[in-house]
Amino acid sequence: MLQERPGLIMCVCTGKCPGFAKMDIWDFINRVRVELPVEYGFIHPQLCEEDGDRFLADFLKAHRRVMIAACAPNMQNKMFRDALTAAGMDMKTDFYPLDIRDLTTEEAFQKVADALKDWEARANG
Amino acid sequence: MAETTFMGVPRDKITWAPVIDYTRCNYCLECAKFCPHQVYEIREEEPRLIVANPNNCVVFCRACAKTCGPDAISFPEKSRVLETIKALRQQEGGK
Ligand code: SF4
Ligand code: SF4
Ligand code: SF4
Repeated sequence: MLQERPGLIMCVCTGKCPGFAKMDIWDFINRVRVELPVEYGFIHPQLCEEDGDRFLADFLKAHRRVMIAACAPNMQNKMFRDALTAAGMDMKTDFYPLDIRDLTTEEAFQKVADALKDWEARANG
Repeated sequence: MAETTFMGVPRDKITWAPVIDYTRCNYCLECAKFCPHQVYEIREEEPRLIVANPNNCVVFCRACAKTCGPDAISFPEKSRVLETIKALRQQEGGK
């Protein structure tokens, strides 16, 4: 059975950092939400800050998988574990952390597209 | 490049940056590997790691501290920094 499309949250480190300097974040998120098989895509300023925790607690639903396009996956796993598991999500199957720092818009877009395919393939066995 | 203001205040007036406790640091360099903002600089001589560009540090980010096993990284108190930001913004005439 085909799973529901995941949502995608892009985290931009407050939007004031050089990690995303090579990328047009608006072009990136607009292409992702319009062209890729996601349910939605949007930008959060700083997911690992306290209000990010509150946001995730409020927002996450156990029925929808989420991809977070931001910083290093091992760090995301640490930073978001509590919020995701509190929402009843499985870190392995419901969450896909992706590092899109230091990429151009096109590189980041391709990385998300490939990751979505990879995730879908995994989900469908 | 990075914008020069945060919450309406010049970034270089905001004292948010990591502080390394060299009595704990084992130079694993995990923090520098994680941070993409060239805050840290790895050097040949001692100490092998320094906070070279504090103003590149993303205000209120503490992510690199979470990579640090020996807990050698600390930050200023957030509430204090927020107070400073608000005071500076008032000084600048609410720009
Ligand atoms: S989650 Fe990662 S990308 Fe987002 S603000 Fe924190 S360190 Fe930056
Ligand atoms: S992660 Fe911690 S121990 Fe490792 S180099 Fe950085 S400050 Fe030192
Ligand atoms: S707090 Fe964030 S931006 Fe600052 S040095 Fe650490 S990882 Fe880099």
